[in-house]
Amino acid sequence: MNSAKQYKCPACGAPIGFDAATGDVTCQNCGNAFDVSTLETLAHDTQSFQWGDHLHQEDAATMEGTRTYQCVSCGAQIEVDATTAATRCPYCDNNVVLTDQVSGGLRPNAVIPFRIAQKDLPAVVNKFYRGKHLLPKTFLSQRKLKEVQGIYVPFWLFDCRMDGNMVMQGTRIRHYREGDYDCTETSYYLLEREGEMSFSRVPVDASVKMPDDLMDSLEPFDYADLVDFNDAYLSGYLADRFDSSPDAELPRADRRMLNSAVDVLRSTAIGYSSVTIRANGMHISDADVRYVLLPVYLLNYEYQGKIYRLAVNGQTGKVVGQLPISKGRSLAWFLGSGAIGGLAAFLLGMLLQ
Amino acid sequence: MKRLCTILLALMLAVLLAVPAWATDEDPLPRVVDQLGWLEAYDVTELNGYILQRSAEEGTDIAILLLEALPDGMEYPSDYADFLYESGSYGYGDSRRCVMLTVDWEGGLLAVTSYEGDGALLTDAQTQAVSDLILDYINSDAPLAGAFTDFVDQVYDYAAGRRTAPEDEPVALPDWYPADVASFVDFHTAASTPRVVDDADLFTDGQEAAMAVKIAAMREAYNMDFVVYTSPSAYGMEHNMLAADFYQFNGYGVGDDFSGGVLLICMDPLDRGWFTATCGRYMDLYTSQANERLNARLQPWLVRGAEGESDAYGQGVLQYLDDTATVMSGKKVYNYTVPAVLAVIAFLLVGGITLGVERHKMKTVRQAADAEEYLVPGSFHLRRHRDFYLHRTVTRHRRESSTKSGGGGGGFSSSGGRSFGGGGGKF
Repeated sequence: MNSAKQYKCPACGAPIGFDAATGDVTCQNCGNAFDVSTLETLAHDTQSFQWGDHLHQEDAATMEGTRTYQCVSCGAQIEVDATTAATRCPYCDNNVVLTDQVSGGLRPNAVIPFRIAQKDLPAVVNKFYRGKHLLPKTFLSQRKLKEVQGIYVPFWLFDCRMDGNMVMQGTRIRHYREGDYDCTETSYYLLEREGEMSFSRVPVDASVKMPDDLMDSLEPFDYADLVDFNDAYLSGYLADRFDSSPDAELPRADRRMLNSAVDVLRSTAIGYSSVTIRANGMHISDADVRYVLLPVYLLNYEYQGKIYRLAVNGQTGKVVGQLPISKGRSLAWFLGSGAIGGLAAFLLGMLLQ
Repeated sequence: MKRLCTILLALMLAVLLAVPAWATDEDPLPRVVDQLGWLEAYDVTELNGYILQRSAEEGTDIAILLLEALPDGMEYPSDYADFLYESGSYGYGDSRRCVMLTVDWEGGLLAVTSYEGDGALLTDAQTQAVSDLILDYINSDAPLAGAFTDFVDQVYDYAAGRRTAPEDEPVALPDWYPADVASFVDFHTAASTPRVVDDADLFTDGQEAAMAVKIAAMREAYNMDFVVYTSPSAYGMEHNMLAADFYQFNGYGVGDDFSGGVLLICMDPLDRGWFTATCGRYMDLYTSQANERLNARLQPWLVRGAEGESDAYGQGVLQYLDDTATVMSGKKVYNYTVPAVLAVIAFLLVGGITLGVERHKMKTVRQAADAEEYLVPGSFHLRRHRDFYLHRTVTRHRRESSTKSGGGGGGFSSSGGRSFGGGGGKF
């Protein structure tokens, strides 16, 4: 049997959870609010994730299958995924933090607490729908909200130095007239650039079951809100521990940093009509990583038999996802905007005569 | 290797012949250079001697250069001929009369160039005739030695005026052209004189009658004359001159300034086109914009007529006369074709782009491609940057001269010395 923790109100004994609106842990029963750090003094854990040390702690067996916990409140057996770090008891609906998933070498270095309260989600999502002209007329009335999850998603934040050189070909084009001829002179140059730059806290989600593009789209997070991890923040939300190692995810961060490094070096080729990259010798060094939990809401809507998933950045309120497209509105939009453009072009053509 | 030989030859000719050939009694210059092996050595010697002998008699130098390739930097055989002539290699007498035949085998080009002082010794028609002579020989199996002898003989005949090139033969002028232009006196023809002169027989009788009605209405409403003239031949004249001369020498026009205009449709097989010549007040009204619009609307009709569509010429001219009435009234003539094409393009572009933008907004999930916002400010350090010049290329395009259509409001003088404006094109 694995260990589980449940935060209870020191005043009335009722289950308590983190309140994103106030930033405190509040009791829904008696209304008392408690500072997170105060509650955590009950069980302070000083050890946290270190890159390199995690390998012996995350053998394949620990990340597959299910685990069983006993609810501290009702004593029921709770079966969860091997990567679940916080959940709700399906029997008494109390918040449960699975402390062994967030302690020792698995303890996150930091967390960004939820800033968007679940009760504010409808307003945030409705704002997202504004300006979506191709949204079916019946979507807002006929959609069914199947599920809302506030979940702390594990992320790696990579710090790296990008170093190396790049070889480019640049051209300068000059036009001039020579007698009856129009001449175009193209001069070719070989450009060598060598330099270095640093990137800080490039986020890559560390959860296999979270779609990478969905998590990328939620960026940016404001790292000013990063605080030392305290499992009291997880109370009232779902949470997963990482199930993909930094070594496995580093190539994703590397690819992004490489693209940016190439852009930076290419921007130093000034005064050329065109620049083409011939060889690229950029590589990362001095890589470091931190393990953090970032707040995300996942909303699943059902509309006309199809599930549409939205994700909300639990800190900034940024909403991403895919929405249904109305064919009728698409056609109307094409014809309407095209007609306006065509009419404007026709009038302009007449006016310029 | 071949190119190197050609360059060396060019340099040798340029340096050795810095002194004009005709200035020395002993001429070291070869008049025949055959890199292509078209002639036997004996023929080269014979031809060289023949040219030297005739050049002294005729006072005109001739050079025949049969080259495998042109030196670097030269695009046309005429460039090479100009280079040799300007370097003083060839030319006879004070005016340095000279004709050069240059063949660039690699480029597949042949050029005949003639020089006399700052001008050309041969006319375009003469130059074309001697070029055709060589080309005919090349395209046949006849011995080429004879071709170059004939070439030399024809050049000297043309230069001395003993022979006339086919295109140089005088062209018969139209019936209405005055025998003595210098003594022509302007006059006003009667208002009842036909204003539609369909010598090329492009219109039906009904169309001619409809045109006459429109022209009479214009004359009455705007006090300006107008004539439609179709001609089967250009009579060796430019279209603008033919139109203006027709208008002037037939006494068209209203008032002291002979206000009005003429639309010429020339059906000469070698020079098919149209031209609107304007005179007096109509010159001011017929702006370059009006010319552009009227031409744009008329040309498609003329093209359809040339493709055999019956009545197209007449319908086009009837529409043109409506446009002319609009111009004479001082109003604008609109061309709807260009705005309509623009509108269709804009419809598709704007509709497609805005729909694409809207669809893009419906899916906001995308993989991150870069990490620009995580670049530490001030951390970029450029350790080395070097730019090496490699090479350059130059492409040249001959500038297009307006040939297909166009014209404008540019003024010119007719053969009778009267000022005209207008414009036209070809179809």
